[in-house]
Amino acid sequence: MRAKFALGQYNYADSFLHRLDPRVKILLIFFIVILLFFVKTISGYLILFLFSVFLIVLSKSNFSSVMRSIKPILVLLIFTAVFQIFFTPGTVIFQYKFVKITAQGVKLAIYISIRLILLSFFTFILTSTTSNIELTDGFESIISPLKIFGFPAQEVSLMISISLRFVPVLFEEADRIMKAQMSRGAEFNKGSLIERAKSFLPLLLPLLLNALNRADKLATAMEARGFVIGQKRTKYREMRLSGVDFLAIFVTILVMGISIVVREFV
Amino acid sequence: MIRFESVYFAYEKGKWAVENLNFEIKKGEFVALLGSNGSGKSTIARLTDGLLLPNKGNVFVDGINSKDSPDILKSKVGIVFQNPDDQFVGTTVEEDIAFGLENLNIERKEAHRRVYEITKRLGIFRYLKSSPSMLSGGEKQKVAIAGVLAMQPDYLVLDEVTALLDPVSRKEIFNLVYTIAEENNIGVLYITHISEEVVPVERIILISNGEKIKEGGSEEIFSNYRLLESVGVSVPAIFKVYSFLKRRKPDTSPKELSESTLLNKL
Ligand SMILES: Nc1ncnc2c1ncn2[C@@H]1O[C@H](COP(=O)(O)OP(=O)(O)O)[C@@H](O)[C@H]1O
Ligand SMILES: [Mg+2]
Repeated sequence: MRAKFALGQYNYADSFLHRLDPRVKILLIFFIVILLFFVKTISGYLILFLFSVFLIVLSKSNFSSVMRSIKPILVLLIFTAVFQIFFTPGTVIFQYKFVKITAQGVKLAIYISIRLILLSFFTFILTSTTSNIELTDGFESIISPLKIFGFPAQEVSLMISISLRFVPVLFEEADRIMKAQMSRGAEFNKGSLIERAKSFLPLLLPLLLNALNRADKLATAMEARGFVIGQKRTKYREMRLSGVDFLAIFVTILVMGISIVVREFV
Repeated sequence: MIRFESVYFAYEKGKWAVENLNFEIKKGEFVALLGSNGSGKSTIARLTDGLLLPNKGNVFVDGINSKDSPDILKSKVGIVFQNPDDQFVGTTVEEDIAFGLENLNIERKEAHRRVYEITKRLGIFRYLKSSPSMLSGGEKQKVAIAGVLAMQPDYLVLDEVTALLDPVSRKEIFNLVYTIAEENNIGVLYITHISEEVVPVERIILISNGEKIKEGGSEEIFSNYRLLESVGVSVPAIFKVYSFLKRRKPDTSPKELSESTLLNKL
């Protein structure tokens, strides 16, 4: 049930990556994601791909959960790839009536697909090795310099953390409601695309009400445990850079550098 | 001491959810609050620690009026709710138990010590790094209780914490709370709609429609079958056995109200 929606799911294991300072992980992954849009060679992407596989192995995740995590973006991926293939002007390599495929289009589609896949790999590495509270604390610490301009760092990071927490909950609820409505005769997988979309509408309202109800209960429980928004609180987990963090930073920067300067191998 | 002084509370105008309620709980005392669904139990729970404030009358905790400083009340009174799934904030059991300690600004070393101690005491130490949502119902509730006990409250309000559990875990949680409260001189308000559970409790407050109907030991509360029926509370089976015995042997005392002693006597 839970395993179906692996997106943004923490993997309850202990690994080298789990032990890194969350701030280091957040920043390194952030820069890698930006880098993905500047790498210009297939060999550069290959290096990043191998690096991501290396990290996934290191994080003790199994590959089936990685695959599940990219499933949700598959539709987006196919859509953009097809769009690029058919609508990019350039040297025509295939033509049938008014349908044209260009070499540039194919190349762009490949690049975009690779970027999206790598993007989800690297975010998977972050979220599977960093718990929500670590993400919140790390994020809060990173943006805390903004506090001097009156930016509500604690509130924003808490909001992000709670939204993250609610993603799997929402999927679970949707699944549960869908099953309940199917048992009452609703059909979600028959008919045209429009009919199917329509059959999801009755799902939306109970889902929304449920989510609001649960959020309300969580807010009450947090308040009952002494949480006051904006109030200073201690951190249970100490965030301190250690040797392994510097090692991680060094290796990542090295890999990033190589992926930029490497020559195309074809 | 928790003291309710002629407390009235309404969610909607003209419809009291709690009406003219008076009662006291001393530190170290174990009091049960018994009432059917919708009788106002959760409302009373929320009034004890300032999550809700009375419309009329006053709630005092150790002399502090909830209207004056609801925040102090939250550190004095810990509440655990019915559904643990709606209360978890942390990704791991450890993070979740630490949440309240962070809010109380407990220093890191002390917080780690408390988490260690309370999880050892409740037998959930081996789950520290696991997801709270993966545990069984009884274990989940232990995590929720640990999160509140770690804050070292003077009073504990348990709002139907066993309602979703099987009878065996129900008994286990009840006994655990009972002994821990005794060891630490914590005043407890044990809220339930299951009359079986509170038979061993010395002081039971019976409520219906937000009003106190009766207060006393199990003998006084459970002997009037007709009254219980009118407020939607069942007569505990064990109490029926006890009354039966009492008619035969008038020397039977309420002290013998336990399965083993009654069986012996039979
Ligand atoms: N948030 C709310 N808004 C309006 N009415 C409420 C709310 N919560 C409870 N009530 C009403 O107040 C009464 C007491 O509810 P509650 O304290 O939850 O009872 P119990 O916990 O004994 O089941 C019920 O009639 C219920 O419908
Ligand atoms: Mg209730």
